[in-house]
Amino acid sequence: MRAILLKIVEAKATAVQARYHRRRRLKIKAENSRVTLLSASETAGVGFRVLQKGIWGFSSTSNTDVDELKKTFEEANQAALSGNGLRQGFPLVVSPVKGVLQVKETRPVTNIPLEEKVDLVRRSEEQIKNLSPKVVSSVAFYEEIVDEKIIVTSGGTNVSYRDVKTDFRVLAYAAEGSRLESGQASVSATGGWGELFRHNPAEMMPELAVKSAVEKLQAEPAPAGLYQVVLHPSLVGILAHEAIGHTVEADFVLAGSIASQNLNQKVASERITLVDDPWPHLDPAATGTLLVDDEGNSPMAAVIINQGYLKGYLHDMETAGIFQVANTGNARAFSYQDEPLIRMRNTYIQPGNDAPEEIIASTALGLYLKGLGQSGQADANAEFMFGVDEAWWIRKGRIGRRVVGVTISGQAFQVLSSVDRVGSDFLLDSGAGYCGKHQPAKVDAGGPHLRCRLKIGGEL
Amino acid sequence: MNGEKILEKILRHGASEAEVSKKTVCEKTVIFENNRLKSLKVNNSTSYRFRAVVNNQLGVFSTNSQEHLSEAWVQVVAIAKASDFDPDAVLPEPQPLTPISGLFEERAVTLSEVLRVARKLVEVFKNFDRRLSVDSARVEVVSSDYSIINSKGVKAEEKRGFSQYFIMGLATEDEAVSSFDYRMNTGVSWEKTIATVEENAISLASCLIQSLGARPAPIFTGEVLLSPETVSEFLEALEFLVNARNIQEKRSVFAGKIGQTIGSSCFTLEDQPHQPGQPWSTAFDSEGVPTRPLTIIKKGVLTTYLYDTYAARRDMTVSTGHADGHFHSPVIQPTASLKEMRESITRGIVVRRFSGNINPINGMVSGLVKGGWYIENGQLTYPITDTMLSGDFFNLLRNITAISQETEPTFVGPLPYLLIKGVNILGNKK
Repeated sequence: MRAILLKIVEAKATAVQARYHRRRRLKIKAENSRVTLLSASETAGVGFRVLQKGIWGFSSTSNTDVDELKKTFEEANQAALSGNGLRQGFPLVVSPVKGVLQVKETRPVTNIPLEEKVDLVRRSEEQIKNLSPKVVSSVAFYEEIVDEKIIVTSGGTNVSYRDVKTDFRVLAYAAEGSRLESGQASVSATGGWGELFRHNPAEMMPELAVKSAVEKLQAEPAPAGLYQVVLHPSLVGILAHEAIGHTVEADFVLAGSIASQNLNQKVASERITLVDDPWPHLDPAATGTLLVDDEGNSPMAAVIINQGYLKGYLHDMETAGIFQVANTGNARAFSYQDEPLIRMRNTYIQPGNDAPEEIIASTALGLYLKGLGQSGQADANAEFMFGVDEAWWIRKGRIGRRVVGVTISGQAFQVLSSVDRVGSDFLLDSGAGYCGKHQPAKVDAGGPHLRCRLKIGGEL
Repeated sequence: MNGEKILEKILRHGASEAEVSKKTVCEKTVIFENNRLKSLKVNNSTSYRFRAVVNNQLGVFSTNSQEHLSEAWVQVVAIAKASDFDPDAVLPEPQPLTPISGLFEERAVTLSEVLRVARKLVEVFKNFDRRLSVDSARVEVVSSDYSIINSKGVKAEEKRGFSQYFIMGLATEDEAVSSFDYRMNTGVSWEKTIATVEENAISLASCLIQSLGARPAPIFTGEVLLSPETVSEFLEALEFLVNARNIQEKRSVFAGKIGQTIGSSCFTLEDQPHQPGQPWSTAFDSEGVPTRPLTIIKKGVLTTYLYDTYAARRDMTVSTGHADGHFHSPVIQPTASLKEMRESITRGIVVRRFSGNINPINGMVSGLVKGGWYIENGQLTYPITDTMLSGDFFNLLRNITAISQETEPTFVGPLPYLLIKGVNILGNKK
């Protein structure tokens, strides 16, 4: 395969990328004492991307015969040529990679028997039901993705890459009278089961989900208004990823996102340093860990905000050329059928100096917010809205009663400007699931606890 | 290798029931990004899915590769054997199918034609005003062949195709940046689909320019006019609530509510999968079970849940042809014109997009209004930003007061506007 791809990328064009991608995927779900989903898949194919005079052509095939590969390349080439004259060329910034790359796997998933994986899901689901008589429904879900890629480019990349992403999630539904609430706990990682359960052992997770669901039954709706809040690292990550991260993706910047106006300006409290990192030394098993991007370039950490100043954007080889900066290697494609797009990896705020418990103790009145609820979205103007999974009152420096139905909103740069305390702790904790931007991507996000002011949507 | 031979191999390998489905897809796509042509794309793919039942244990295996077909029957049986015994894990029996006409257009659209339309879409939008910017625009033509057979005699095949365009943009003026907004259209017929390109590009451009200078709405409880795009999000929550699996697993508060009033008397929701020439129409679901027109909520009364074969067997009923758990082509019966609805509003807002949560479990609705307008005495008064709305989903269903005759395309099909009273609107509380 490699030899054929190497031959093809020699074709006459501004740039050629060939990416073979084999994926093995496993999903297991148990609900109320039954395994209701046991599904495996194995897919493979090659995506060709050709740049001719500023226009990209892309074509993919699942048929890996030599003739079919040549035909597919030619389709990509012709597609690029058909846009001839519609755009000017641009310089490309490449950082080629050679060799064999492999993520760290402690207890590799390919060494764990299927029966053991099914048993994990079954046991966890069983455990949920037995933890409280108020639990009426329970779900446990496991997913693993094992990717093997060969990326060969005309820019000099020739690399094999094995990447493994794992997810585990439990959900509890509790009822009292006509009221129904849910609680969840989830983990995800790059690597094997050693990495997946590095923070929380699987046995702990049902308890967390049940506690959350049962306690929500007694909680009152959140009151609307502007509040001082202490954010758990899971929500700090959502803020960093959704509200800031998307606005600094260079493709969004070129389209006119708010970040296009603010480079080198003060956009946040000087306590804030925000980074998108392909391999965070504080947690290398984070879900968004990336050793080579899907354009075949070496990824590097991108400092987006440095001590409150907006310092840079996230780039692929094209936007790095347009902005005349280093390529941060953020081009990612979910499958062989997808073209690489600028996507985040692990996006976080760096820890500060305040002990998390001291941040809460020094808060007279506010809310403690943890975990993403149903969803979160942000706009080109960095205006965001996130559902919050768990919330509690803080009164006189103590965490008190739970509230439910909390959504938070605001303008991300204004919210980060209101930050007055940054914790000394650190956690990447975006949990299971995917980021969506035309195609899914595994990412992670987090940081320390921090305190800021933002708007709570709830009862009037 | 043909499907029957694979079925035989799965059965010979120890399965009591087996199913094979195959999907072939051809896509041609042109993408604009950041006001510029970005790429042209051609994708051809074939994928296979196998399901096997071994002693009432169900396994699923899928692949896109001829290479893995030779071991698919080994894989799927091994997966089934690792699953749990479940008396309801069976494959469906064959039933007569009603073919739907007009799901496919014979004419092959070329990549050059797709490019021409994409350029027009972007140019009309950009030429409207210099303050406009295209975040992304995409025009695509997709054709597919789907076939499914099972060892009980299910045999179904459908050839489908659709064209779609989508443009997302924003407006900027000095330091003001509008929200994103978009327009799209989908249809089986290429010509009919692209006929609205100019009109939609201008509509988007005009909306974005008008939304500059938006400010927060006041704080009040009032009426909300939801756009079709927002209505599609409400339907997603309803889909969860009426899914029989969620009822059986006690995840939906609609359990036991068949025959009961759960919404306003003006709210009738149907699923109409047999409309000819509609890209969302289909003769059968992903198990090969026939679809059929279904009234889910009639004048506010819940009439049925959505069943697949598994859930139907558990409730000793028949599948409604909803193996994927989604409405195929939802239709909400209209009650008034959009003009009448707007003029009837004393104090309220229009919600073009809703960036928020509709929690179907506890009913809590909360989020940001995007591209909205404040309305007083039937008049659009000013564009709004930094405004949240909240309420209880189950109350909102009961508080629907009107449904528009006019529909707009959404990603789940054409949908109307809904007018709902008694919604909390939180604008300028600082």
